[in-house]
Amino acid sequence: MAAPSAYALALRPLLPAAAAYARVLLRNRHDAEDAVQHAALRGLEQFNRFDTNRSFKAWWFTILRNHCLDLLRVRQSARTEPLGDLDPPAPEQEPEFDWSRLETAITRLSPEHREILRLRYFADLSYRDLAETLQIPPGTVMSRLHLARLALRRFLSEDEI
Amino acid sequence: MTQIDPAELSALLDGELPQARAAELRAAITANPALRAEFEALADDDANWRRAAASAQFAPAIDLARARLALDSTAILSGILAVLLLVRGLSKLPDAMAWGLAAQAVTLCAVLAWAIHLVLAADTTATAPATKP
Repeated sequence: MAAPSAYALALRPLLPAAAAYARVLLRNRHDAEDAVQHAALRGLEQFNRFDTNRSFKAWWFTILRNHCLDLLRVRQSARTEPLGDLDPPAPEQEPEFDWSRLETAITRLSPEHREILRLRYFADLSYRDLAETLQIPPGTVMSRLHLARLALRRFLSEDEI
Repeated sequence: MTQIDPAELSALLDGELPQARAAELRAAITANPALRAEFEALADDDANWRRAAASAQFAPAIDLARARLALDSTAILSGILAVLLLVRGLSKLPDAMAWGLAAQAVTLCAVLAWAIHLVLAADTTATAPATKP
């Protein structure tokens, strides 16, 4: 059976970034894949109500983000997920990249800074999409993102000492 | 001298400034070593983030066909229910006019809901929404 072509066409280019975003949030590749599948289904159900004046990317990533946050809340309440169980990409894939050092620094950021950096880089959202997803003014996106970058650099440099 | 909000350096890096303002900032960065150092530091961080993001990406196996089947199943079940109600309504009509009419009213609503659902589902295949960069 054919999938709804318009939705599938719009969604397909977002999937690698969606997987990365869910993976860095949920810290597990398998859970990330399930979350993306769930968001894809949820988006399909709601696609009839999608306002074409909005950004599809921001709309769909909002669905994915909300689902991931729900999963994290469930995990937190169940407290079955040990801390620091990040499932990073295999070292042989990116031997030169120090993933764990960056992740350690990320966890020291405020939730707002952590969220905007993850959405900017892992979900690859523009300022307009960030504003829509986070429900904040575009000017706030610019300043928050900048402050998040400065904070992260400070934590990374502290780790070096 | 151009007044610069430090956050604009991030926006320049992200390609989010209007062209005229971006040109002003580039000129200021060229002329000011401290500003240039700050911008280069941001660019280095940005490169690290991009490598992290690239290394986290993978192609998830998404089965939209299965998702579509689930939606279509709902429509099909609604249709079956509508037909059952119609048959029941017609069979009741001679003996219990009121029940028959009520059943037919419900049937009409169910058929309409089913038809609308199918039409809206067909609309989703019409045009892809623009994915803004």
